[in-house]
Amino acid sequence: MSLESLKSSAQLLMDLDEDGLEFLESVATEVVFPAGAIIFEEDQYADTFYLVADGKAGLEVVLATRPPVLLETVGPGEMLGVSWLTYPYRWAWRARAVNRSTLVAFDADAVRARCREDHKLAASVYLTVADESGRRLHAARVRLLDLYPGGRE
Amino acid sequence: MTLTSAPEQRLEEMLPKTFRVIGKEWETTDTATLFFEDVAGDPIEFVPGQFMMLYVFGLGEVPISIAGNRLDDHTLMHTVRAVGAVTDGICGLETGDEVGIRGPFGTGWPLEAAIGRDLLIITGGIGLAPLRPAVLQAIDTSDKLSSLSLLYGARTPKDLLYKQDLLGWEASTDINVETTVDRAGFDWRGDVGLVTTLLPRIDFEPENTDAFVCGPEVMMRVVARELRNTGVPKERIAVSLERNMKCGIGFCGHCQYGSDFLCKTGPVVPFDRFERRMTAGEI
Repeated sequence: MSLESLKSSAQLLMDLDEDGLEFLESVATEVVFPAGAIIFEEDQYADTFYLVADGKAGLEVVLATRPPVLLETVGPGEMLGVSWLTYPYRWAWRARAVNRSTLVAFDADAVRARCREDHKLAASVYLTVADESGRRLHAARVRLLDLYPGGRE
Repeated sequence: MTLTSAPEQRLEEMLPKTFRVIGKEWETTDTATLFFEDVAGDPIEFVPGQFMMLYVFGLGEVPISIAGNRLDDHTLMHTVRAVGAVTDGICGLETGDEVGIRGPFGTGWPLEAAIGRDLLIITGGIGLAPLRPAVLQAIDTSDKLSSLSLLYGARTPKDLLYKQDLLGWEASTDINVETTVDRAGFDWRGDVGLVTTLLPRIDFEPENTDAFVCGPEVMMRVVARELRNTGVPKERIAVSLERNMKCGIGFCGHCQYGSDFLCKTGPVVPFDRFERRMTAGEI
């Protein structure tokens, strides 16, 4: 299963002890999405969260007057979206497979419930997501600077 | 061999030679790649990373990095973005037009020092132009490198330079290429995000890595620090800095940056020596 390959590349799994890893394995399933398939919708309840095992997935914003805009892509070893962990547990953006992608899907309800009791697991999970959120915030701020001049329209 | 005194040599370096445009390709709506030949037929020698002073008669002179292959000693290639009178003039040149060119000037990318190591080439926007000769040379000598990767960021897919080169490099086993853009529609099959987000996709040993970084200064700072955070030694990171290069020979002082004249000690410099200056508001 793709979860095996993720143990050496996904920060979330690399930081877990045996018990935590065993638990996450028990609530994980492998899902394959064809290119263009919607993985989750904006504002949808996040009952599942995903690590990308193979391929590429993107977060996109749906606009009324023009085609969807890709906000960010994630590849192998990376987490697709971070909104699943914190209240109100709803996805901020829509996610779609950019190309054929294999994702490992985790039961987010089960992981959140377990984190309330197992503080060691909670520390690992929250630190990983905090790290990821910080990295994405930093990247978003740099991108706000609009560093690369674009061509004339 | 003719021995010239220092003032004579300096005078020689200040005199432009006549070059003729032999081709032009538009990379984007405002960025063109021009190919020149020396009217006198002399071979062109340079080190990847160096720049030339391009003089459009009647308009003025600007520093432009060399973007060509150093193995082709009869064609000089420059990629120029039209942002002002002189660069507008350069982009408006057509085959057969003549310009004055001086150089090459400045320092090059430390390719020799990277032998036996992982080499990461990270660039954004038009920053790929000064790195293109280094990429080509690194590919030619990739058997001497532990690994070779190019990470390239642009504003949108249509702003990517050298699309044919990128296709060729992506198909090559000598170099690992990852491209990302800041914004794209869903017809784009590449990545969207900051160029640093591509780093985890690359297989490299940080302590055995050399990195060449070229792009807007803020981007270079962010990339260099991210590399440092992953364990790449700061002294193994080279960046390309530009100021107001005028004479090209360390004489006029227009490109002074702290204690350095960047036309001589740059444009390619070690990040660790310039890091503090790069965050100073004014020097």
